[in-house]
Amino acid sequence: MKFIYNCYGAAHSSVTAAGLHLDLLPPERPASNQELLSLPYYDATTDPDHGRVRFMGFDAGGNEVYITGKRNLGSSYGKIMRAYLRIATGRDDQIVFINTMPYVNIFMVIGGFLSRRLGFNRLGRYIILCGTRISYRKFAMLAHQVKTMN
Amino acid sequence: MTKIIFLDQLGCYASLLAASYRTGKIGARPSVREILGLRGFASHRDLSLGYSIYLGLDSEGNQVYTMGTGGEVKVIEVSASDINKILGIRSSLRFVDVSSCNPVAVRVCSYLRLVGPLNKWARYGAAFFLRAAMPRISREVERIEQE
Repeated sequence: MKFIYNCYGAAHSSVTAAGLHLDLLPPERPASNQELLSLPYYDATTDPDHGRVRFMGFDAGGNEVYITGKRNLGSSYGKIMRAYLRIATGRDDQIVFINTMPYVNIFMVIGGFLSRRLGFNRLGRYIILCGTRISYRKFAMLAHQVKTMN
Repeated sequence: MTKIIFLDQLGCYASLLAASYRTGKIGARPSVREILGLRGFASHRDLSLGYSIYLGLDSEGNQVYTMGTGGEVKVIEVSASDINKILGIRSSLRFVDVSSCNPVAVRVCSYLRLVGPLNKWARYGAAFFLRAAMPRISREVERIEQE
């Protein structure tokens, strides 16, 4: 099975959820700043990367975990890509699309905008890290649900 | 055989006309009545995306589809290309973005289509405005041959 975690820019929430899925982050306590910043692609993607499906790793069950940025498509991204898979392959069950946007809070939105769009990396990153820790338990629950559904 | 997918906001306006033109269901200058008679025209029940219609085969035997991808066509093209690599999809697929061929008036009609009493008028209005946009749509379709 292949899992694609998706959010606006594939820089924060999808990376955090994928990191939890891959056991790169601890599920039982909020990750430290260092742990979050050491994740691949965390606060690193830019506008031209939107839509790119990036490999994050293999989980304990040997499943492939990816992340992508879908801009403003929201939950429609999964629907569109499943429609695409039906056209391309005749089936749509090869990939599970996981929308992480419902767990993104206002701090992550503001921090992401400051860091990724306006280039205020230090200030933006500080706000994002606070926001990520606030929603951390929700991301951990989501990743756990995805792992156990397989 | 190539699968040609025409993309626009909802998959049942400019993309449907382009796909119908490609498959020979309408000519380059269709009447409003012909547009209204197309299967799937303005057939959306809400504004959700991912709506897809199979139109049939074109003269070269390619399968022709429409798909609604909202305003983020580029993101979908990039993701689809990466997913092809991930899944090892070898079948030839071609995206044609005709979302810019939907005039603002058609987009307004697509919203009004969801308002009960205006439903039929909005469908007729969309056909009327798309008829005017048909030269541009046909140019986009003919560009496929040139490329």
